[in-house]
Amino acid sequence: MSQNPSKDPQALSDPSTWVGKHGDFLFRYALFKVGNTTLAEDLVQETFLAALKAGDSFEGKSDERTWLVGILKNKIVDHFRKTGPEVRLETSEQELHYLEESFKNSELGPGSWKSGRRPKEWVIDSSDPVESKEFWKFLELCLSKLPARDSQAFVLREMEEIKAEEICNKLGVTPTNLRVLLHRVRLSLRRCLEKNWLAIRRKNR
Amino acid sequence: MRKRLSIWSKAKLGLAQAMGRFVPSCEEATRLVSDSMEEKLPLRIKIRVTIHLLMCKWCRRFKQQWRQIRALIRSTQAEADSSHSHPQVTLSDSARERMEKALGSSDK
Repeated sequence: MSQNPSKDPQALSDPSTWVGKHGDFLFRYALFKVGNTTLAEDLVQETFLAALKAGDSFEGKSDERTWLVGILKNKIVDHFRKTGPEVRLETSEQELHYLEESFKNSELGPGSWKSGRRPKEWVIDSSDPVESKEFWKFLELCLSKLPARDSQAFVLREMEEIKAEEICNKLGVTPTNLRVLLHRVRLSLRRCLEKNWLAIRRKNR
Repeated sequence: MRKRLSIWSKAKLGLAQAMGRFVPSCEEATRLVSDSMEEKLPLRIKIRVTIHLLMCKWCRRFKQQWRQIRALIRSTQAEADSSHSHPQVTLSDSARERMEKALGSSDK
């Protein structure tokens, strides 16, 4: 892929200026997601070091900060994965085909929600900071269980709010594929949140 | 209770099926709800989805929950991304020093 055959891509700035330029921003970002100062600092430091090593992989397609945030996001997810509760989507890999699984052979007729798959009633209290932190943790954990391309599509679409066209180009899928993919992700993520997070939440209250 | 509910649901969904091609199934309705998060649906399709949603609390929940999730993602993302929202939250001097040292001393 040489979409950018001409001249030099945007270059990285001197790493020694990173802390000054991006340190606080990355720190706030991390703190927001993990809610712990020391941990947030560690994650930012890891991010800088990883960026230093991976400098060659910077393609200049996004700006430096976006690139660093991308690395930080991975560090945060890794952290959740290591220390968070075990999140399970379903028992088997096959069940990742949730699209069919949610509706196949339903007791209520073709194309209806199967029992045990039907959405339960819940709301997220977004005014509660603990709740939104928990939400993020479980969202990241659930996302990490999805096939890579699925979660990538979701992140690009919902978190980075990138236009569908662009995502299609990036992932090499057709617009129809992308819609199917996002739908599958939405079915699965909703269920993953319900099964893992909301189950715990209900118990604790 | 559960049984009665399920009979009621059955009746409603049976009705949905009786209405045949016009009212989408849950599978189709959730797909269309998802599509509607991507782009505006044509009015004709929107009406069909709305009718399904009126009859089906599960699909209604699907839609409402996704609306919430999206709103939460957008609001927290915006807050986290905005460098102006918490200007007082900064790296401590010691952390800054530590990082600068780490970045400076590492060889390429």
